[in-house]
Amino acid sequence: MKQPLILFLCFCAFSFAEAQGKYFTRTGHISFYSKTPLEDIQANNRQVASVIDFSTGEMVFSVLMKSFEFPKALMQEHFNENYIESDKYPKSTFKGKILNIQTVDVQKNGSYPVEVEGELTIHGVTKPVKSNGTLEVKENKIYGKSQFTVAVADYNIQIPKLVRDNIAKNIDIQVDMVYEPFKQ
Amino acid sequence: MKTPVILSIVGVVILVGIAVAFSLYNKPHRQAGNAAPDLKVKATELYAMYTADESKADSLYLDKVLQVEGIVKEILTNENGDKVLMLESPELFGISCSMADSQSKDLSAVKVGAPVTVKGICHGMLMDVVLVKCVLVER
Repeated sequence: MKQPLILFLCFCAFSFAEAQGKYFTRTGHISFYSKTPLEDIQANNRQVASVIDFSTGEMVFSVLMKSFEFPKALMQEHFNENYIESDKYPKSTFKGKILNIQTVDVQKNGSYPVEVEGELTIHGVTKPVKSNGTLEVKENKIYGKSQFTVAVADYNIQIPKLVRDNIAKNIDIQVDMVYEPFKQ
Repeated sequence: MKTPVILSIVGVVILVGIAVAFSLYNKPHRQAGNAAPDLKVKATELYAMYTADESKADSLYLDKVLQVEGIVKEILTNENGDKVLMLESPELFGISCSMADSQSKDLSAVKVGAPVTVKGICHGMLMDVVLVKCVLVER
């Protein structure tokens, strides 16, 4: 329940500091894929909130687990009620830092490879993660992309035996954001 | 004499089981469009409730079909081409209404700065209060 507060505080800090250098989105896209020989499952969340502060390299992502859309309503129900327990753990967050932020020039169009390190919280469990991605600066927007893998077991997510072969042990996560400058 | 009766009962049970499993597996996603709203609330009031006490607001609004009335602040298009209406609040953030697929194409009636009424499913709060599968309600 603290995550919106953190996001909110980020923004409060922004409004006092120079607005320059802060980018955000409220319609970011995170998808995940579970691939097994029995079944491929994909889910999309297009209501991801994220903020990057280019003066410090800090970045925050926040998602509502209920907003992941599955091809089948039943899958979505199982995901929310049985696996991720979204009533108990409604949000997942990532809080981290772009390690090579000094190489990114938001004033100059171009594609910048970035290295991100931080803490990912899913299902109430927080683990350190490290991932590579790209930030593409284009006409005052920043297109952020990254891919990484999480192990279901790391986040204490219990999958019933019956469907264990249908759900991958490692889930591929794809992050696709379009950031805009933050203006008050 | 009994065997065919039992066999046919077993057969019927299996068929019903398959039918039920199939319809469960293919059951449609929840939509806000054809549902009567559980609650009607003003956008400013909804946002104020969430910023004041998130867990209390969740207990009132989470997963409910809300009919929300407010002023359109911004019309956004996400990278998938879907429309998102931002409803105004006195603060920086407000209510984000991701429109249902059926509505995403024609929002010509919606004007920035004008009042609008939408119906959608409440998913909770990030920076904004998030409503999904929203449809416009005739005013």
